[in-house]
Amino acid sequence: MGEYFTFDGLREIILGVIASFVTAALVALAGWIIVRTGYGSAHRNAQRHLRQGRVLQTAGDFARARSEFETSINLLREHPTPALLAEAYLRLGDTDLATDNWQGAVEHFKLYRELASKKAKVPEDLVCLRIGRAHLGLGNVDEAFRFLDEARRIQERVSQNPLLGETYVRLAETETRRKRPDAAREHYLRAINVQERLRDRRAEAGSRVGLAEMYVLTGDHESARGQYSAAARLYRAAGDAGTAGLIEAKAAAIAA
Amino acid sequence: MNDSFISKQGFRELVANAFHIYFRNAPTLIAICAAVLLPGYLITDTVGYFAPDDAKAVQAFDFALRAFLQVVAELFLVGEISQAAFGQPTSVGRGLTRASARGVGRLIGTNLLALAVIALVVLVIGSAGVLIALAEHPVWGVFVIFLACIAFVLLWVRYIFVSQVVILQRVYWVSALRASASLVTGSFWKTLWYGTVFTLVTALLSAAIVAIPLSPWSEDFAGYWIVESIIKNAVALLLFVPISAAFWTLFYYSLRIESDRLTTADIVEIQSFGNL
Repeated sequence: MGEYFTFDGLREIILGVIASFVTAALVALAGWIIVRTGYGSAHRNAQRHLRQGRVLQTAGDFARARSEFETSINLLREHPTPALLAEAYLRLGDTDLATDNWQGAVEHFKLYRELASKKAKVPEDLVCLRIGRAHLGLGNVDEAFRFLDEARRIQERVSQNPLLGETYVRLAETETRRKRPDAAREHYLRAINVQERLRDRRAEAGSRVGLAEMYVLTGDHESARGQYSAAARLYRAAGDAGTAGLIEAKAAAIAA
Repeated sequence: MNDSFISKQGFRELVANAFHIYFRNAPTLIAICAAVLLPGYLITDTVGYFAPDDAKAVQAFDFALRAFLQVVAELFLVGEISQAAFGQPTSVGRGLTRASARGVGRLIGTNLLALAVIALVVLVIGSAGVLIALAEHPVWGVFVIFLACIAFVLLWVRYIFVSQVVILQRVYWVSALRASASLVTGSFWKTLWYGTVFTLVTALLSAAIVAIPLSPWSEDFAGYWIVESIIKNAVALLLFVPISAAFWTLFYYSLRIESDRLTTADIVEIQSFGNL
């Protein structure tokens, strides 16, 4: 061990570490060149537009995100790369969902399904969930239920599936619009159970607000007030004091 | 019915679930690991075999390059382990192509950056310690070397989730280093404790398996070193690298849940685009 604590030992260790980093950098560079030469400039441009669109979508600039995704799709139609094209259609569909362009969303998700291959595949339950949401927006309640129930059926094959939180909420919304309050309540309660496990306070608060509104419709004001109060506490814990205030006002209005 | 392991977990649960994921998906995880690690280890073993026994530069080269290769293997494993953690089927082809689709250079480069930061800080402080010790101040030298060890532990814990961040959050370079450090903030001691215990246990088990003479040939056999290299690497690393990657990926999800940084929307995003 003492031989490492000499000038020569130290120099050799430093040289060895530097050599390993140079080798690793060369490996990374070789990997980059091999992958890069496998694709043309159209592919790289499409990838860049897709990445840019994703950033804009996250930032909430949906108009510019849409334009980036459309540019990416146009490039990928000429030089198809199934995985990227699938992602572009899904992202465009998600942008449609966020901007209430329900018809556009259904079309883009259908286009995704047409080109989905074994290699470039989004889980079927998540595609069903998206199509179900779009149909719900369009007011096709029965069609929405069909897709959402299919998503639920697939997701329930995995025990404790965290994705079920979103699906149960959408199913509850569908059941509320189908005037089936008991089924809606069941779905909201199941969603809350999943969201509690994930500690997703904002989503849980949203589910509790939905449940409260459903109780208001059925005339159960006491339960509604309890759910509104719980939702307000959750919003406050998540740092959203503004929404918490609005929900507390609703709870107070019911109490009055 | 498959199980999902996306939840807040304690140490025992993390270890048990990491083993569960490994045994349920062993062929896929071993195949991905073998494709990445075996060629690299063969190179380091060849260099080590032909180098003189006292060549410290080669030992340092071998150590650093092996650490780097394990990180690269983890990169290729994380996506499939995440799939398994969601109770979904895994695939070798998808595991290998996912990293290519995201840009191999960027993925490896981000991990290399993390390793380079750790190596630079530790080498600079450690070298200063050795120089001080050589300048007839052994106590101060040992103290500075001790500081280098603390710096190593600090940075290792901060950058432990870089592979998970680049694959699952699609964040790269300095942003990935920041994301990993930010995830550990508030759970530093827990991460250090879990990480140290897990790493020590796997290292001990790995060393115990490597110590077993598995080669059917004697040491006089000309190709003994290459057979020994392949067997040791296959047994120790193809077994422990996937389990280690599974442990850290499950711990990554657990910490995100614990720090309220995993929303339903994030999960839908990870599962939707994680395979593309």
